Amino acid sequence: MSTVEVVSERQKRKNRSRRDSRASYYWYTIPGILAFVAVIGYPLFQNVKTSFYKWNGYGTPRYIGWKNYVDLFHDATFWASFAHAAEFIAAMSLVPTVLGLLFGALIFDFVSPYFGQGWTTFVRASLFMPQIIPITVISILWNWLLSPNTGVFNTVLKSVGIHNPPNWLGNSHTAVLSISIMLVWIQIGYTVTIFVTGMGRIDPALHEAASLDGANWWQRFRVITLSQLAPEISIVILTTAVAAIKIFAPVQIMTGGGPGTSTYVPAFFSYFNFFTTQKVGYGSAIATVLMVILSVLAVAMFRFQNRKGVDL
Amino acid sequence: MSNPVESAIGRKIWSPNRGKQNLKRRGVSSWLVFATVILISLVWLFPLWMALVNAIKTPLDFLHHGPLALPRHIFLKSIQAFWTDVNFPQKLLNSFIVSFFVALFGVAISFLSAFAIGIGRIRGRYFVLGLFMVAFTVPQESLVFPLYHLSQQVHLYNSVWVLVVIFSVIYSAFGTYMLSVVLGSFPTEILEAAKVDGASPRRILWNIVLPIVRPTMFALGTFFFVWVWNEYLIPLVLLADNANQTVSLSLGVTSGQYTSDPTTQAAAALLGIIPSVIFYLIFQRTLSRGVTLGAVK
Amino acid sequence: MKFNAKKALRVVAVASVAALATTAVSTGAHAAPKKTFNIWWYEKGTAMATTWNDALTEFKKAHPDVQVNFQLKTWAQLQNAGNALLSSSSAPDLSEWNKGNATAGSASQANLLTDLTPYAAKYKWDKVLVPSVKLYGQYTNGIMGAGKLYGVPSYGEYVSWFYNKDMFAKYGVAVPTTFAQLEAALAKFQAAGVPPIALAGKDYLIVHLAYGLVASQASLQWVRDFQAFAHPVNFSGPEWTFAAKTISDWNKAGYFEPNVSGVDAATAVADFQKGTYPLLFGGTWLDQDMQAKATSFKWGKFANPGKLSVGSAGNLLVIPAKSKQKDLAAEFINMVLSTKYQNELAKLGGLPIAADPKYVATVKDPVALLTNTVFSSIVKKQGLAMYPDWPVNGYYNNLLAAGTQLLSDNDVAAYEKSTGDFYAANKP
Repeated sequence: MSTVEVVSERQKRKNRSRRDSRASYYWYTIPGILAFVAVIGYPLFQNVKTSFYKWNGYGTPRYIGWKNYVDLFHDATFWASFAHAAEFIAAMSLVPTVLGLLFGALIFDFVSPYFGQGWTTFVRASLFMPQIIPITVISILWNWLLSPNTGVFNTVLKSVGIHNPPNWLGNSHTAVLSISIMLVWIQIGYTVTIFVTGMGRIDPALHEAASLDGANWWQRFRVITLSQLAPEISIVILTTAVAAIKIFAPVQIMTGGGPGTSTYVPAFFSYFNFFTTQKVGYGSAIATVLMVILSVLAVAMFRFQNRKGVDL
Repeated sequence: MSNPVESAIGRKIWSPNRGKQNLKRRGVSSWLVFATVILISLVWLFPLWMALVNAIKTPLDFLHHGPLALPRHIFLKSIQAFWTDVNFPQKLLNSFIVSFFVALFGVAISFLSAFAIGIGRIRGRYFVLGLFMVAFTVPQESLVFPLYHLSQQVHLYNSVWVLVVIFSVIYSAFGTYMLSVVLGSFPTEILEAAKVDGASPRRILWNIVLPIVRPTMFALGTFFFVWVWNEYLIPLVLLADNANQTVSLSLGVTSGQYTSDPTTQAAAALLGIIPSVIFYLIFQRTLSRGVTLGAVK
Repeated sequence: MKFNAKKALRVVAVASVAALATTAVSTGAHAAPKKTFNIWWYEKGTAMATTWNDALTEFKKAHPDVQVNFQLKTWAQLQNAGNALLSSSSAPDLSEWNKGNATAGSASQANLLTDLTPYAAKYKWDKVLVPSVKLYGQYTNGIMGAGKLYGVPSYGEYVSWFYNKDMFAKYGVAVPTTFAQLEAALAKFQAAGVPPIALAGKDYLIVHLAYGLVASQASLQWVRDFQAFAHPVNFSGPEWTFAAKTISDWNKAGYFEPNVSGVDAATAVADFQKGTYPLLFGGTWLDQDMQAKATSFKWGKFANPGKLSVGSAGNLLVIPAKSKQKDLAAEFINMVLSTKYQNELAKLGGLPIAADPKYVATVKDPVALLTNTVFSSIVKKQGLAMYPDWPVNGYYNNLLAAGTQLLSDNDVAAYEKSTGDFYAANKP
């Protein structure tokens, strides 16, 4: 018997067993899919259905066809809200990703090897802390920071000689920026946590070899760390970008959409119609459009990520 | 790193003793970086410091000296008042039940789905994953009304368990995605060997995959725990009675339509933060360890 | 690693057992099966809260067979989830409810509230609920002002100027009685280097100041048009323009705090209470806080000069349609409306609607006296213009966002357009 035959025999058996067992793996998706259908799928279907009705949430809904969608496309506030959401992608996704990589590398390459585990834990815990604070609490604390006359930021700015510091949340040009700064503060903990852990699995030999070739820290960071962290980076960008477009509570609590409509975002706009003006049908239409856009975006990033080698 | 399989998939992170063993010699640049990083950490902690300082001030002290000044003397009445007004231990228990079971069930659902997707590589796995992605992207406020009516029909309205069900599912969308990526990079040699030996999927799940990804699942559970602790909108609508409400809802007691008292708010803020901080400190090592996405090249 | 996890779990388990034990002890008392009566309100630390609590104590004594379950709710929950709560299986038997079209109005339209007309007849509430008070509880198709009685107001509230008597004396300023005098007073303070008005552009204070200025120019007919859609309202008309323009002029003249559009209510109120600013335009809900914190100077109140003032009856007591104890609920409402508790409200500095005038005259408490005197001057003069956010759902958010914007760019036309468009787009 030749080796070739042995191999092919084994191969066949393996293939068969693989095909057989593949089917049995389907059972494992059942809890997830059932739960999804009951808790997300059905409400989602209801939501899409409601978007074709005029309804205040409690009376009898009245069918109005595509009217909510037609209105939506002529609603300047809706489009403006998307523009703001795009700005929040920077604050919740891009900036925290960049800073997270940088802080992460500093922690991993300097604090941990030179100063030890205790300090590393302290730094990581500090950066992660905003992640675990309820947003209602965050808003109270940040109002003290951003208050234009008595707030911490402007007190500091005045003391270093800036006599006309920004009016933060009180000015339509700086309101988005102010919330953005807060979001960066919140988000860093998430990105740093994921990146530092990711750095742990990069083979130290890569860095050592580069050092021997005379590469400095910045070069090693750029060439080795960034490329090795590709999967983490794409996951972080995907999850935070989706969160940014869905952003709701920070806006509702910090500005309620004002001044004017300068901080309106789609999720807030949808909430506002659901709960405040009680135009549930219109709110459903906004939510449906938002969801479609997000799903398309998520799938696109998902495929991109797949090509980048995050295997499934 | 005693576990050879862990090493095999490259989870060589963060040996806890790393620092103690041999620290590198500190030069000027490392001190500079250290100073910067510590400064950043302190800046990050500053708002918490404000919560602490103002929670133990008298209202008049706050009025005349602002949020930045240190308290003239320690005043614990605001904290006591909030504690009794909202029956804080009860809220704590409710929050704990919800967070704990969401972490448990959320991770379990995620793991089962991710097992089929990442290990089983079922046909249509992209479709299943895509389905879960929808759950991850859907804005919560669009689910509130249907979930409200649904919870009435199944008599789960006004019960902490309704939150357990809802958030386990919502979060498992994210969890499935994360774990699928981790399991997708599971060393194929190990799996192939097991399959050749005729191991059933159930045995592969229990004896091979589960032990290895347990830290990752633990970390995921920690994330879930903390996230659900801070959920606001769905609990606000679905929990009618104070006796069933969670910590994050109880914070609303500190402000009326037109009135709010800063020192009471700070006290509530402090009490709202402390449980999460304790929880984080207990679990931070797991958290730092498990989120490794495990992608092996 | 594994050890840590286990240890952590053990800690958590011990903690939860301890917590469970605590609850077990605290809930053990409610064991006996009785008729239950669930009552909610969200007043906290106000004269109403104290009065209602006392009434509830008497109520419990009168009904030993009834298990009374009181819950202190939050304004935020009733505002955001109010109708959901009322239509749920957990609806209370009696509750405080926000007045206005968007809240009580919308709940009445959805058949979530009990029509109280039969109880009003039974207990002869019409004697105490004069038409100008009763209308706040009456709704037709969700619009306040007439129709069935869905809620009972039991107190009043209004917005007026708080002023720092010490500063007025120091700078030789008299309490103004006309708008011209008010502006002269503001100019005098400003000339002396004291910005006169503590205002929050980021919170409700700007909404009330703007509407206060509208009301000072408005007739009762205009208020009916604006609140109940009797006739179309012109948002570029004299009332609305006067308000927007005055705010913009005062802002340009530096009469408000610097960066006023970014100041929040707590800061503005604190600025007045510290004695930094001589004036604050605020509601009666601030009385108790003022008394506690504005201690370093003497303060007083005066009504905004002009035709009408911002104010109305206070929040309603409603009986949800799902209430299982409607008779008991009505009995409690009747207690709150009784002279005994209305007098108590007056004594504590609240604004009763049915107190004995002879008793009110004997009240010595300065804040109570002040509140009631200014109120009676407002009522005597002409009346109340209600609140600006009642006509359409979500108007408060719009008025606030537009007001913040007005303070940051002084653009009167944009303010009028934004507020007018929102009103037009959302009116029924």
